[in-house]
Amino acid sequence: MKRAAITGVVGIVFGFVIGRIGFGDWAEVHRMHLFADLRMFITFAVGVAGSMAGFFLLIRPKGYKRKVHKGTIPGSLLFGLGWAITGACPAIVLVQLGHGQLAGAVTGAGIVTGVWLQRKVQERFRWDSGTCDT
Amino acid sequence: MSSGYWPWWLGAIGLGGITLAYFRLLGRPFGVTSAWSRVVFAREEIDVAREEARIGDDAKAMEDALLAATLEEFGPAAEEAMRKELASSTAEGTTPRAELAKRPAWTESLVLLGGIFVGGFLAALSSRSFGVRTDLGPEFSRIFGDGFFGVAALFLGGGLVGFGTTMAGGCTSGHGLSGCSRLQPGSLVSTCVFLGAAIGAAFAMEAIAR
Amino acid sequence: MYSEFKLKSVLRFWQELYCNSDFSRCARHELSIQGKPVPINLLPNGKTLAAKGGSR
Repeated sequence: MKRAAITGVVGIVFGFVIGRIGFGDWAEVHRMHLFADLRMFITFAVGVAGSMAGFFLLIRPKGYKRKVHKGTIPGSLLFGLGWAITGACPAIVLVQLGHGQLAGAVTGAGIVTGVWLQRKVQERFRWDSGTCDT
Repeated sequence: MSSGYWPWWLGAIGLGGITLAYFRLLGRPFGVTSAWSRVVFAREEIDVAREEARIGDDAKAMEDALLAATLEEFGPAAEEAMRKELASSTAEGTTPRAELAKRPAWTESLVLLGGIFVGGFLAALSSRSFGVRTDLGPEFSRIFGDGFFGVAALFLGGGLVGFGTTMAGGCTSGHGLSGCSRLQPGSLVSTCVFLGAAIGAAFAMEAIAR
Repeated sequence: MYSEFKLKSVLRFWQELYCNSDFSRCARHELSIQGKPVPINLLPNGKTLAAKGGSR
C-alpha cells in the first residue's frame, strides 16, 4: 500500500515535470526532433548527466547489466519512428491526455495493441530478451 | 508560474530528481514501458502473483523448501556434498534473505500510469494550457491533415511505440533516463537508436509534407 | 532466482544441470524467451517451490 502511494506521487510529479517541460505539445516534440529547438534536448541530457552523478555519488546501484539483446535495436527503431509520428512515448501519451488532447486516446489504443502484439510475436518466435542474465 | 515551458535547468532538475528518487524509494529503476506491459497483461500478472505467494515470506521455510526440492531432484547423492558445504559455510554466517523479491502488483503499475496522467493534467492547469480538443495542433495538421489519415497515423504510430518499447525493453524513461544515467550498455544503444530513428523520421515527415 | 538464496552450494546443483548445460530444458528460460513473467519460485524443472513441503 505504501509502495503504491509512493509510486502514485512519483508518477504525478513526473507527469507534471514532463508536461511543464513541454513534452505534451506535439509541435514542441517535433521541433526537438528537428533540432529547431535545443531546449528539450539539453533538458534531457543534463537530466541524465545529473542522474548519473547522483547514482555514482549517492546510491551506487548494483544489479544486472542491461546488455544489448536481439530486440534492442529493432525495437528501438520502431519506437523512434512511432515517437516521431505521435509525439508520444509510453509516458507522454498520458500527459497529452492530461492536457485534454483526446487524440492521445487513439495513440494509447495503438500502444496497447502494440504491446499485446509484441508478446504474441515473441511467444511465436522466442528470443532471449536478457531476463536470464544474472 | 504562468504559461511557458520550463527552462532547461529546471526540467533537468525535475527529470534527474525523479530518476534518483524513484530508485531510492522503490528499489528499482524508473521505467514506464513495463507498467504498460503489466497492465495489458494484468490477468497473467495475477496468476504469477498467486504462484509466487506459495513460497510465503518466511526465509527459513523458503530455504527448507529449496533444500527439499534439491534433494528430490538430484537424489541422496547430493545430500553428502551439500552437508559438507553447509558445515563449512556456516562459519561465514550465510544468513538467508529476509524476504524474496517478488514482482510488484500490477496495480502499482496502474497507479504509476494514472499518476502520470494526473501530473500532466496538473501541469496543464498550472500553465493554463488545458483544453479538451481533438487535434494535436497546427504542426501535426500541417503534416498529417485533419482527417482520417491523421487518426490512422496516430494509431499505427502508437502501435509502433507499444511494440517497439516492449521489444526493446524500455523507452525514454526506462532506457533514456534510468539506463543511460547508470551507463547500462543496452540502454545507451537503445537511446541512441530511438533518438536517431525519431530524428530521421521527423526530417522525412517534413520532406514529405512539402 | 539465484541472487535471492544464500545457499550457494544448493543452487550450484541447479546451475550445473540447467544454466550451464542444456538450458533449453529450463522452465524459467522457456518463459523468459517468450517474454512472459517468471515466478520467483519457479524451479528449472517446472515445479513451483511452496513453503510447506519441497515442491509441487
